Amino acid sequence: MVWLSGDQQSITVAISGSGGSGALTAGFILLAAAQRCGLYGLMMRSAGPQVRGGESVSILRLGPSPVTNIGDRVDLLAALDWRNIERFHDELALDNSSLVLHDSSAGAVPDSILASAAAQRETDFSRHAAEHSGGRANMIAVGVLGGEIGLPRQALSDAAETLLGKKSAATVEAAKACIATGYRGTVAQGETRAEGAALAQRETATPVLSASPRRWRLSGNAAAGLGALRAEVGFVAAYPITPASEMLEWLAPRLERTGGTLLQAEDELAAVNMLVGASFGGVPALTATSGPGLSLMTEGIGLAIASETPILVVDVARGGPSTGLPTKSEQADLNQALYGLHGDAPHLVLAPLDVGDCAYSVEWASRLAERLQTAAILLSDQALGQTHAVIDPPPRCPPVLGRKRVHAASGQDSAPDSPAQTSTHTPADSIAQTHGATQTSTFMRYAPSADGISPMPAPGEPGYTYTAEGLAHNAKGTPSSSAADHREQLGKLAHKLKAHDYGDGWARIDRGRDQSAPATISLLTWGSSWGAVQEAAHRLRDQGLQVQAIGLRLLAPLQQEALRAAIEGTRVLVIEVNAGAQLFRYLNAERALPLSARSFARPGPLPLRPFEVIAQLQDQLNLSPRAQDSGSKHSHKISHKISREPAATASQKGAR
Amino acid sequence: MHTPSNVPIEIGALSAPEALAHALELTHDSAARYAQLQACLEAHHNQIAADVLARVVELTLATASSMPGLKPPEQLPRIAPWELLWRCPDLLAMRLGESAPTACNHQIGAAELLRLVLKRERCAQDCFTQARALVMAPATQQMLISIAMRQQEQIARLEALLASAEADASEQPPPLSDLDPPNRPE
Amino acid sequence: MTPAMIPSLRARDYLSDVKPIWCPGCGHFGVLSALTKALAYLERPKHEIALVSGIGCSSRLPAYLDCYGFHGLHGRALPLATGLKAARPDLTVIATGGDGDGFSIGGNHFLHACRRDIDLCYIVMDNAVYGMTKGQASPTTPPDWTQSALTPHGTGIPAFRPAAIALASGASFIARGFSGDPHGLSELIARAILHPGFAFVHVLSPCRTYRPDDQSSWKQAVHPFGEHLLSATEAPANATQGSTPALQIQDDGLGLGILHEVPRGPISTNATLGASPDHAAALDAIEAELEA
Repeated sequence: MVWLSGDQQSITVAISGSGGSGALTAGFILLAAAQRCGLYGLMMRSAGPQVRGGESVSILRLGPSPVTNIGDRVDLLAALDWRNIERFHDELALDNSSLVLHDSSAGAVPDSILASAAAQRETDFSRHAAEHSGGRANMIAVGVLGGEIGLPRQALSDAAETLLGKKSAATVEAAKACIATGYRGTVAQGETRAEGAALAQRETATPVLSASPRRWRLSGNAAAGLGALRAEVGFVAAYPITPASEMLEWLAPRLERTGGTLLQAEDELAAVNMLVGASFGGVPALTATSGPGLSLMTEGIGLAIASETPILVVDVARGGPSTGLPTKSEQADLNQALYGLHGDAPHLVLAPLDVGDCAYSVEWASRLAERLQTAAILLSDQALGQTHAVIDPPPRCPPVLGRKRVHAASGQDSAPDSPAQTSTHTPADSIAQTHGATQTSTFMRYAPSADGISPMPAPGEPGYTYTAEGLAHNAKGTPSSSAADHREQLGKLAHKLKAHDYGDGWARIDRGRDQSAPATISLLTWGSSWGAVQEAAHRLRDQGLQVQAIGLRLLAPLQQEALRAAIEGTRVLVIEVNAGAQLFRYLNAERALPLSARSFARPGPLPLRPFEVIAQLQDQLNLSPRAQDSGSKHSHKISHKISREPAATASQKGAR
Repeated sequence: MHTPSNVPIEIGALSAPEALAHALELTHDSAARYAQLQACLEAHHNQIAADVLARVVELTLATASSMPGLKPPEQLPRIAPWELLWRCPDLLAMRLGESAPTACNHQIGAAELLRLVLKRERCAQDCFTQARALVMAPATQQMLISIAMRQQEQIARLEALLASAEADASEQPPPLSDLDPPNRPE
Repeated sequence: MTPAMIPSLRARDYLSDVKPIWCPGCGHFGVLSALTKALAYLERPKHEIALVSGIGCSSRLPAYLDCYGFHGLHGRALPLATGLKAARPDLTVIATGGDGDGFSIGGNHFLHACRRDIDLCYIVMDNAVYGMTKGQASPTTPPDWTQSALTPHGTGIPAFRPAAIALASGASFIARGFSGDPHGLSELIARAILHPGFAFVHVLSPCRTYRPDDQSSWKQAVHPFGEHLLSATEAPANATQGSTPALQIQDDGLGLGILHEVPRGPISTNATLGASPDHAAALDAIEAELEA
């Protein structure tokens, strides 16, 4: 039996099948079952290009501690059929320690699977499913896999009920029956093994159903949506694009429940301009898009920056360039986010580090944009957005003051440092009330100040009327091409970002159990690469190397001093999933890296795996792999177990 | 909430307060147009012409102020701008409509401007005198006579301005070269 | 003391002290005058009004009013106005711009704003030319106009028909005015602002610098629009009984007045608009659902 026990960190299972086979549903049920047992997990999926009926695979990694990446390999694959399986060859990292369960009615095992040297076991998903009215092969697989992993059958059953809840009662009953059948078969196998005392030991370590409250189960896109609600976003403009649509669809009904509005725009050009309009009206606003949409929104983002109107654009990046790889991931939009605007247009660029961090980062980015009256671009990607995970509820972002208003409200500031806005300025209409005439507004919307932030009235406030401007302007907002005005306003835009204290949120630094331990090597990364890099650092520390993992969350403005202090005295390897080494080049341009720093950059679309990082570092340092990498240790244990399993019933053929 | 009215006003039945309201609207509209052109010419660096128009604005507003003395303002009826009985042509439109539109650019001279102003003011005067002949109520007739008197004073003052502008014409320096958009820097 | 309701005097209150950059005799002065008169007549407080524009001579208008304003991107006034109105339905939102800004780069947004029917007033000052960039042909320029170096043989393309396209896109209010008659125009603008949906006001507003003949030719050619924009043609002789007659758009581009008006309200985009739910409670409930 291949299951989780105290000394095993995690297990990775996969389900594959042609369209309609339900590989994804099966994956979702297993993830939800794991959630009910207090386990952590993450699930990625891959599909063929068809809108309906395409082949698909779901890959889950589950464990007793937080799972942050998909791991190096797949332990166990349930192949419902072999349709187009070679499409997923790279994602299904099988090797000679893996076990493949396949249906004999699906035909001969394809060469690509044979080449992996994985162990095979024939499991008649479809025949067992046919024993139940309305039974489906994927539910048999859920039962089999659940049993192999060691999840309680009740957890699988409850998960199926929740996820299939909208379907007919008959469908749900059939699913549960199939799960039970698949589960019994596996458990029966286990009980026939002569492992006696070892079995009792494993039973006590078996995952059990845990009581509420449970951990959260959600995708990165949903977490990002949650971050928007936490930030009190009140307006969302939406234009569908893969893989960002789900974030907008998650938000649509929930935004309404919190009193906000979502409008579907006719294109991305409209969407970004709608944000500027809503924000000008005083309502925090955001949208979500992907690379091609971000390109279209660039001019609008520039308008937000120049007119000092807060907006947030979430980029759920996909493979590029151009139309690229819409359903796959890559971290190749950093250049666009940093440098895509014409003119000198300083702004915020952030990137979440994992699924839960999507909530933290979106909330933080929105609040920062509001306070600093600028545009924020948040670089998520498909690997985070469409990955579902079981996580601890993510924390709220650091506190950030709200929009600077013209009137001091309770708990908020007005403008203590700009003389034009304090007691010497009386709104024109209050003069009107005393003198019976309305005066023209003299409000200086873009007046310089110590922190560079000028009060921003909302339409409806009497006496502070102004016209927001995309043209270069003076302190009042009147268009001006004077050199002095241009320099002053550009200085204001840059200064307000630099002067802000971002605190500790700029990055995550992981030095292992002892956070004060000195490091000699820094693995520096950003975005969805974090999980694999963090795990790689952990395994390298087990080998005796003093490695720290640093994940940048705030990419612009770059926190130079903090970064230099963090990597002081270490050898640096910058890791990212894009062909152009975009982060490495950026940091070098900012002179933030020592000359000895090195880059490991490779294009998508495959998710980053810890062994890649480890191999790169060993290569860079000219290290020979002394001890076995701790990750591979476990897999040998598993294969040792598998190869000893005898063929128990007539319906199964034995392992090799 | 006021909704616009499509009902045309019958001039014969005009009341005195209504007549005053319409006359004030016409006069203030004229003042607004003169002020608009003043700002425009200032923006295009023709300060001499702008200054002349500033004086015209002053005079026109004074004329308007002298009219409400005939009736307390609170008793004036509310009229919508499109209900205005008397339409007089816009200053430059009078030239633009002709075949010489280049005569209406920023470099327009003070005397030429005043001639155009007088055309409009005389048109207004014609409106008042024609109306007086058509209205039935004696109170209204009396009101229009008083209004016409004020308007005549306005015209006399403008004619005086024109005379002095024509006298000065030879001593005026030419205006600065044109900076019309899109050539104009901000 | 302000006399009771003299529109032209009250209209001054709405002006800022920024001097327009328009050429002397520019048609847009008449539009500015008409707009301020309409706002004064409607007694809208100026801090509750927002003017949104794109790029071009006519798009400079927001700065000339003492209201809230946004001088945004070329062709993007309508989406900005849409986002503003959706977030702040309490405001009077007016979008302004020219024919190039509105019908060329902004064409797509024009179609969808007509469809979406959000309560906005959209005033297009059409002078059939790109004035700010020195005289190129625009979508409404006649195809045989050869005065632009960019299209020395003329565009050869039939002119865009804004009213017809607005109608086909489902606009519920379409009007046309002429800057040479600011008083008549002020009524159209007032009606447009009062209309509880998307109101399109197409204003013929001549450019005296790059199309100097329009002032006189348009002044002579404009006429009251007395008919319906849509009319049913006679059914052809061989048509079957009960077939729908074809609808024909009758518009020579010079008819003034209200061309089309459907007294319907906009479709609400937010079922809970007006309700103020407890944000914190709603957020707690949403977070609790993630445990399922």
